[in-house]
Amino acid sequence: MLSYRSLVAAGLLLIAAVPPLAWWWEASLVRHMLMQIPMLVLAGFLLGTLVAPSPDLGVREERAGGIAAVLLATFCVTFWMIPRWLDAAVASHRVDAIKIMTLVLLAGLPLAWGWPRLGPVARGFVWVQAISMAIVLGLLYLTFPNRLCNSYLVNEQAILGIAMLGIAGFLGLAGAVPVLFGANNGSPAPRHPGARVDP
Amino acid sequence: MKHGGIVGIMVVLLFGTAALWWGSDGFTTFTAESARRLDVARSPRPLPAVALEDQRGETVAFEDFAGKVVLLNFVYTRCTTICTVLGSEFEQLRDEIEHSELEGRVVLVTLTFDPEHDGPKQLARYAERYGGADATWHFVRAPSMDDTRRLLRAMDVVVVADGFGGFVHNAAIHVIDPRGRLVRIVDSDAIGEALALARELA
Repeated sequence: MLSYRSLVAAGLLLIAAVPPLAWWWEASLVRHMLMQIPMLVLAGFLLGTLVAPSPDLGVREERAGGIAAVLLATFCVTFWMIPRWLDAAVASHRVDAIKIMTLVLLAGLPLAWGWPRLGPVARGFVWVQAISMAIVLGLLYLTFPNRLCNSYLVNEQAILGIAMLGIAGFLGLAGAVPVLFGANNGSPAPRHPGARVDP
Repeated sequence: MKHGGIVGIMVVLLFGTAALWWGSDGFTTFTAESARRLDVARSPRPLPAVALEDQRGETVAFEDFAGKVVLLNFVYTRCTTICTVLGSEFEQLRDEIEHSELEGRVVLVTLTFDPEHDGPKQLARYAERYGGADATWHFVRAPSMDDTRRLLRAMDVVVVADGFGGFVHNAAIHVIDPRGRLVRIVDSDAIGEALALARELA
């Protein structure tokens, strides 16, 4: 429903991006990275679903466009995961405003346009990449002995690491459920030609 | 627009990689700490002119050290962890300076970022832990919190409350040249490097 989604998006933006609440999220590394940033991307995604035309998957170009859009979102999120830019967003309101705008417009919005256009293989690829990145980053944050961000404490870094490993586990499970129990795979496998049918 | 999608992928790859390249100084600088060190080394920064007060309660300023190299560190005197280490490292530096031709040409300044707690008395007591202040080593504060913030900001020093009544901050040796510009930042335990730089600049 149109108004429902725009309301949720507006609500997310209000909660995540408007000071002083925005600063509250940013006061903690875990809140900044795992709550504010996802909320901004989600807000952009919801807005994107309102404006993106539905995909015409018969057209090959649409799929390539989908890949471009998801790549754009990936680059954007990756950029803001660089510790120095996370720090910069805390230190400067201008950088923070750029962070908020780009995460909504260059990550969330293209994701809404691109994801429905991805084929199952590309989706699986993105999903598995996300899991492995979460594991790598999680282990890095968990075990790195020095502070990666000047604005945050080292113990928060460890908490973030554990949370990221948790996210990796969740993504793995969420990806596995449809594979194991989903409608496409729920149907019995084609019978072996020589299989005996019990009366 | 037959190949619009493919072109799109190429453009995104190009601009995305360029953005990450730019944002990490060519994939070398991922933390704010290394970024500020690189930036200072590339373009030296003048320090804001602020009134300082030393451990005797006398007014000093960075201009008073003009013509000399200043090795500066930031502490707060209640600190029981890293600042203690910083102190003994500066103690070693003073030893090296006072037993070499650098005496009188290189000074050490320990600046507190907690001027509301650290007055001259606290600074003097902190100095006593390392053999006291002398002509080489000065312990100062910027009495006004605004001036302290200006100084921290000019050098991109970030101080974070640790949740236990203390602070966490970038511990480093800030090298200021005889013209009063911050020219280099090195690790707090890089005593040899700091001395070599001082020798070069003095």
